[in-house]
Amino acid sequence: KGKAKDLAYTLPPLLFSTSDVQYRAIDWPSPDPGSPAPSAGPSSYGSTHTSPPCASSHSDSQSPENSAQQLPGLTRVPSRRRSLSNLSIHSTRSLAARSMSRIKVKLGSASKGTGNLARRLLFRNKASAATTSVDLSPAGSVSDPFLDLTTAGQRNCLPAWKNPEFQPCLNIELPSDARTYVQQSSEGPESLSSITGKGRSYSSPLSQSVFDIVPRGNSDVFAPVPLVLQSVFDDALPSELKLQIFSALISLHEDEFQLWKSSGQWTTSKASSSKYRWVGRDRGMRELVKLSRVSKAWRSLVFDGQLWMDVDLKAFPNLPVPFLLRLAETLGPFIKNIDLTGYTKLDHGTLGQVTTSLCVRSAPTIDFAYTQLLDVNLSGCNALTTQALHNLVIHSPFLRSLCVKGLKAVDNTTFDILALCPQLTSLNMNRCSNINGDGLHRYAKAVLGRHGQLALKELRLCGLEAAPSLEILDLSYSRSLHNSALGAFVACTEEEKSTESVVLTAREAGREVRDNGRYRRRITKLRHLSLSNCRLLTDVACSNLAYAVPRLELLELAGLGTAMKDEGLVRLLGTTPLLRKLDLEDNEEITDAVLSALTPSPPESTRSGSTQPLQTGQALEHLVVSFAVSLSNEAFLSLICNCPRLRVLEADSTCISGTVLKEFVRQAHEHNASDATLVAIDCRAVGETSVKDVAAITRPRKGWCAWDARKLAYLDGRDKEELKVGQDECDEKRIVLKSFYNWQTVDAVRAARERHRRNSRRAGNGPSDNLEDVAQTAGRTRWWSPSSGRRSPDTEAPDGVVSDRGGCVIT
Amino acid sequence: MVHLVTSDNVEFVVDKEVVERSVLIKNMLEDVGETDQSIPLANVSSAVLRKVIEYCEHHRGEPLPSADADQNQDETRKRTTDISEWDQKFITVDQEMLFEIILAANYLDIKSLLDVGCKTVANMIKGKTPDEIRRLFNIVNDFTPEEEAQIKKENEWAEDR
Repeated sequence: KGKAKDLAYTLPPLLFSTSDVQYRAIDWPSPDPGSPAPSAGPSSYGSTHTSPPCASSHSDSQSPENSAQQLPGLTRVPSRRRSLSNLSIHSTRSLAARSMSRIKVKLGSASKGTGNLARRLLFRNKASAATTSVDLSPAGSVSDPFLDLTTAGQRNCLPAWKNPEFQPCLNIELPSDARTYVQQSSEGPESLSSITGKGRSYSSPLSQSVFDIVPRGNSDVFAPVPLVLQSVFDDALPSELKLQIFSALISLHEDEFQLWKSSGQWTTSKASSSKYRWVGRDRGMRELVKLSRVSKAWRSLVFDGQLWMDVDLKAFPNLPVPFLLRLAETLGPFIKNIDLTGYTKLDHGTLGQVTTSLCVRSAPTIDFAYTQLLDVNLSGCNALTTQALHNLVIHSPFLRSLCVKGLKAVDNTTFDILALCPQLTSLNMNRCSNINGDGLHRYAKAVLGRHGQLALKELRLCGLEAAPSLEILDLSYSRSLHNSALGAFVACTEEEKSTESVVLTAREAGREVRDNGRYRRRITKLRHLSLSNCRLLTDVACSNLAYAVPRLELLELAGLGTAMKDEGLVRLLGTTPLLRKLDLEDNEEITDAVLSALTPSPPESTRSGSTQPLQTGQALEHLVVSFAVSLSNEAFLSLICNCPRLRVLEADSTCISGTVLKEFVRQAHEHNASDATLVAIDCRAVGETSVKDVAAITRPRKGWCAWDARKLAYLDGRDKEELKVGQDECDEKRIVLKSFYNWQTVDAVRAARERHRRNSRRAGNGPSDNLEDVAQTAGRTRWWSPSSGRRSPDTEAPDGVVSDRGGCVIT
Repeated sequence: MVHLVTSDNVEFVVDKEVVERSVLIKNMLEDVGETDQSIPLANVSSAVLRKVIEYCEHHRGEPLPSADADQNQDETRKRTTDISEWDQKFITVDQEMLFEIILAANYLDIKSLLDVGCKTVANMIKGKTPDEIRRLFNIVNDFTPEEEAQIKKENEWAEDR
């Protein structure tokens, strides 16, 4: 017995996957004694399914069986249930016996039914124990052929089993396995000994178990093959080639996605269907993980470190913890980059375990385990504790970039620990509420003390609380690192003083200085400066930055309120010819002077103070002047006409008129700019007619195609929806125009779709009916609906017509 | 002309230009210089070598990937080049031959052929369920039902819903 148990757990090549299903399908006799039909049903099902020629003989034997079943039910009341199962046993046995000759073919798939077999054995053994006494007399005529068949089957079968072509394990282990199952699960009056004894009372227990494993289902065709043939894939290829094949699998998915995108097949409707929820690399990763179920060898291949240098799991937030742990465990130190964005449930313990698994055990002399992590992104992992985070950082001395956006776990001591990562070049601690300038100061001091130079190239600390130490920090360290391109400075209250002069002494003077000659200014390499919402800043900050940031491309000065005046801004803008994006949102005080400073002068004028060949504004692509109420239309017009690259203009709540709007659209269309945008929300001067005039080359929203965008229901011209309303939102050549009237079209499209859906359900209405409905349901629907008499700005509207009209409009 | 002898002792005489698509042979020729001696290829059978030479003949004259192409370049090339129609037809062989070709391409160091082979196998795998893959490659499922259930649970997110 002990041996049998052991064997049961070392079954090598059995296929278990479908045993459950099979069992359910078989529908074993219910305890209800009055229903012989279900028990007869499955057995006949099985017989016809697996052996059609035997069906007739089986049905012959069915009725005597039924009577046999009834008899024990009458004579032995307590064992009704068993007698019931007896019936089914008989039928299956007869079936098994008859199909015995075919068992050679079916052995392979027979192994699939092991679970099934075990249950059957159990039943049968119980059943035989219960009924042997009764069975013989009334149903003797029935059981006789069985016995004959059994012996015949044995004769046919046993040699085949001993045939060397068959794997011997089946021969031995199946029965033993079955017996263990019986032993383990047997209960009730039949003790173990009685079961086994009865089992052996048959002429050969082996053959009986063989009868029972006759398979059903259509997998026979494939089944013999695995036993005879070896897997070419597993045997022929070395694992590095298998890995190469797996990585080819991922790149196949990426290629496919690229192909879709480039060939225009990637449309909104496709992106919104759940079939294409995962595309490109994500789909490949999913498939790869799925492959781990094929076999043990495949599983270890799938989780090979070579395929997982980048563990980018942000597309699959909150994967189950066991999977994460397995990943970390099997990949271990191979992982270089890990992206766990959005793992909101990632807790202290899990990250701790992951960290431990990732560690390389270094040489025994050095008692320090470390990971090979280079890039870590933990944004959104809100359940993390400070301790877990620090644990990870401490063990990752090679860290190159760390993103811990908005984590409460980050505090000033994190800086101290980060000082241990000399190669850190990118640090994102935006909106971490528990840090302040002190921590940053300590970080810089520690790093400078140890390495003399800060490797940091990108520092994002937006939302940092004001700290007096920061200005010093900024000055001194930006001077000493010199190549640092600080991504964002926020809330450094008196930032202007610090950048102004090389030496710190000139603070007070610095604030009042208008003449830059007296002070030496460091020329920074800053390309992106964000000072938005530093409420204490004024335009003096800007004038202090003048000449210091000639490489500036992105400047964000939003939300500075009324303190931001023209003078300093104009001075700064004069020295930043490369400026591509300027954000002046909410700076109500700025006037036309700012816009004209941004406007590159036409050739004859030399208004701009810049001596460089490139003038400020020539590179300008994106301008935000929302809420700047004092800007005039003329200034806008000249800006639009003279900034050749201007693509995005956000001018909501300003006084821009329809003329400005049309001019912008016309210019953008002429320049063939992609994704050009004009925001004109709450601009009273923009009327419906001007919006309507440019409708053919605009769109209300900038649509994108992805699973996540499905709820936004972008209208995609390529999908050919035939809605007759709305504008193609996925055509990047159309100008995104945001205004009250454009938003209405979005509503209209939705209403039209709903109507369409309802109509198609009703399936009787003509299209004209449909359109009128649209107009009615939309309520506010006016110019974009066909009922207004105007041809709707449909996707097929020829662009040529449009540009002509645009030309006429401008006077 | 270069003489190649396969594992089953069949001799092939191939143009130098053709056979130099194999980095292994190219390097060998560079080391040995001009010689009439045949090169033994113990890991390649004649049937496979015939296919490989067919491939090299067809791609004769195409620029060889430079020996020191760095990983990045490799990546981009891999991504941009799809399997051409001819290659697709060429690689339509039975599984055993396909794997033999991949092995030979790996041994002979013919990157493009190896890529084609790997992509073909990947294409065979793509979109199949584990069961189908087992059947495809005659792989025996050696998980116990409990193990399989556990894996299924762990990988639930990756299974198609």
